[in-house]
This record gives sequence, structure tokens and C-alpha cells, in this order.
Amino acid sequence: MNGPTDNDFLPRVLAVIARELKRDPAGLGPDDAPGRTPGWDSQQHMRIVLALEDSFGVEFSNEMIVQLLSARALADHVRELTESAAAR
Amino acid sequence: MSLRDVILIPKEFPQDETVRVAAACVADGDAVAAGQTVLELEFSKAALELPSPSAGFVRLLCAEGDDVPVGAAAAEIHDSRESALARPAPAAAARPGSGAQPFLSAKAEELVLRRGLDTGPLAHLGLVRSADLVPAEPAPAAPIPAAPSTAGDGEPLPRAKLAEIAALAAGQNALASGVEALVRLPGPADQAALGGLRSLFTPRLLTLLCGLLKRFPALNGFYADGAAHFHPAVNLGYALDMDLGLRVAALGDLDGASPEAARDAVMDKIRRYMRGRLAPADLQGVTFTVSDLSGEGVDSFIPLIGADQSAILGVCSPDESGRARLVLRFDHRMLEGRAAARFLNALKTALEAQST
Repeated sequence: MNGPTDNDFLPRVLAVIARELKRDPAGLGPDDAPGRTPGWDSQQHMRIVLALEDSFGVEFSNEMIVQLLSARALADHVRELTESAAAR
Repeated sequence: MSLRDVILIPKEFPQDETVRVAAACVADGDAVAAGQTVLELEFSKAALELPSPSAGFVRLLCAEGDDVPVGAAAAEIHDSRESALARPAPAAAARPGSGAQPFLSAKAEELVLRRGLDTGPLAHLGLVRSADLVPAEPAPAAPIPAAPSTAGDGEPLPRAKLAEIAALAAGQNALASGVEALVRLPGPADQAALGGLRSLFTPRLLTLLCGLLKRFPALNGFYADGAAHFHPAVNLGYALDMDLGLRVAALGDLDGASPEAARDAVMDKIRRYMRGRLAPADLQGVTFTVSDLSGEGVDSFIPLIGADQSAILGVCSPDESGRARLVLRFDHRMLEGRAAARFLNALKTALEAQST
């Protein structure tokens, strides 16, 4: 079982974030976040979430969208949603 | 063997006199099922699919790229392929300019009825628009020759942008005034609903606005033809502009809604906007608009009032002390500055009451 800092999804989530922010994925890390990372504002956050939904086939609730405010938090939630879907 | 149904171009948005056919999804003589998409239409505010009302065989009366008048026949459904293919060529039968009776746009029809105008001399136009019925302003006696342009021929604007310009060019902006106030945003209720994503929008502001608009009906109406019109209900609009074209999403009446419910109402529209799935019902009937640029680092801006509205509220970015400027722009024909100031102060008081 992966821990919160050992998420297999993180590189793929970072790749999606990098694509949406038009950045080099190598320049992004788990602590990148809206308001802290250049170009990642609230609108980009919505774009990133929708891109993650499309990429991983999951759906974020509105409540989670406003709470998941770092690359690591997004990756952890993608993992939870994916594992939850696989368990059903 | 006969005609079963005629598919008409629907009137989805008041400002659209014509609609562009973005794609024909079937060809003449094709079998179609009830509900199957026949045409994809591009309205000024949204793209829509036009379904067949019944099963049968299709005869198209327009082609991709055509601008078809609202209310005109776009396709026919026949009960046999032979019947569909045996019909006369559509260009002679139904397209504008064919020599048949002119088709009146909604605005033109209103003018004809109101003024008792004769459209006979305009029959050659096919589609008669309101502009065809109103004499052009006389040219100035001695026009000043324009300097040669160095900007080339210009880049044609998208259809949606042209519709937006037409909607904003209505007289209410020429006679608009404005009042401003500084207010602390977001309040605790917004923070609870928005978590750390505080620049997205301010749900509490939206719910308070809906309640206040009922106390200030002049801000929930519009001026036209020498009369003040009042919308019977509040339908709050929220301007969305995320590099996909400006759209004003209709949120309905959020008076009494929780900040979380208001948040969800906006986020659901944002989702549909970003996925290109805003339907006409998502955009129609807005009575007052909020334009929130608080995430854009602006101290102030001048929002433009939309069609059939008398006011718009602009939300600017918070400063270092957490106070943001609210800009209320209003049609001076509907109310005066003092009433607008009272509205804005009532909003400010209600918002800051959340902060204490």
C-alpha cells in the first residue's frame, strides 16, 4: 500500500498539471499548488481538475476541488478514486 | 409516400436572427431514427444539435456553412427514401432569396406589426432584418476622409463575439453610471465553502445579491422604448471568461441558498462551460450579472451591462488588507446614483456582517 508521499499516480498527475500549465514536468513537484506555483490560479485549478478527470476516468466533487490544493493532494485523491472504483 | 415532418430552426436566443449550420450529420435520403441528430447548429451563445422528431428519411434544406433564419425549415422527414429524394431542390423552395415571400426576423416582425410597415418592396431580400426596415442615418455633409489604415484588412471576429458586441452595444451602456465601494472579501462563509481556493468566486456575495435585488427592482429590470421594465423574478448571471469566449451563466435565484449550494451552482456551470456543454437553458433569462475579476489582480474595472438588464456588479481583486472594490454599473434611466449607492452599501453591510 502506498503512503501519502509514495504515490504511483504522482508522476502522471504532475504530467497532466505540467501540460495544463504549459510547464516542464521536471520543474514541478508534489508541493506545487494554486497560488504558490506561477500560472496556477483558480481557473487553472479547474482546468487541471477537469484534465485529471479525463485522464484517469474519475470525477471530483465540488467540495474536493476546493480542498485539494497541491499536486500531492490531487494525486492522492486520484489514487483514492481509482482504487475505490476498482473495488466496486 | 409523403412528407412526415418539417424540422424548423428553433429560436433559442432572442438576439439570433440567423443560425449557422456547423455540420450536417446526415445526407439526403438517409434513414434517421427519432431523436437522431440531423444538424449541428451554431447559435451566438452555444452550439446545439437539431434532432429529428420522428423516424423516416431525411431531405436537407440547408448545407454546412449556411446561415439559416430562425424559424425557417432546415430539413424534412419523409416516410420513404424515394419521397425524400423526389422533392424539389431545396434552394428554390426554402432558402432565403428565392423570390418567395420574405422571411421576417423576430425583430423585423415586431417592427412590422408595431409600425404597420409594408414588406412587399423587400421581398427580394428573402430574409428581412430589422435594419432593412429602419432608414439609414443620412451621411454627414462633408465626411472627413479616413487616414489610410496600416492595420491591413482586419481579422474577422467569431460569430459569438459579434453577437456579444451586439448585445453590449444596446443603449443602456451609453447612459450608464457607476458607484464603487471597498469591502472585505471573502467572508468566513465563503472561506468555509471554498477551502483554500478563495479567488475562484464568492458564493455569499451571490446569495446576498439575489435577496437584495428583490428590494431594488430597478436593478433587476431594463429600460426600453421609454418604459421601465421589471423582471418578475431574479435570475443571477455569472460571467465566465476562461479563454473559451465570454458566456454569462444563469444561476437562477440563490436567495437563501447556502454558500455551498451557491458554490455548486457556479462550479457546475464552469464545468459545462469548460467542456463546451452549456445549453441554452444555462444561458437564458439573466436579469442581473456579476463579473468577477478578483483572481486577475485588478484594482478596478468598468463592466458592461448586458441586454435586457439595468446593472452589473464587478468584483475586483482584494488588496493586501483583504479589501476588494465592488463596482456597480447601472443604467441611469432606471435609477439614480443615490439608489444605486444604497444598494451597494446594503450589500457591503450584509457582506461585512458575515465577517464579524
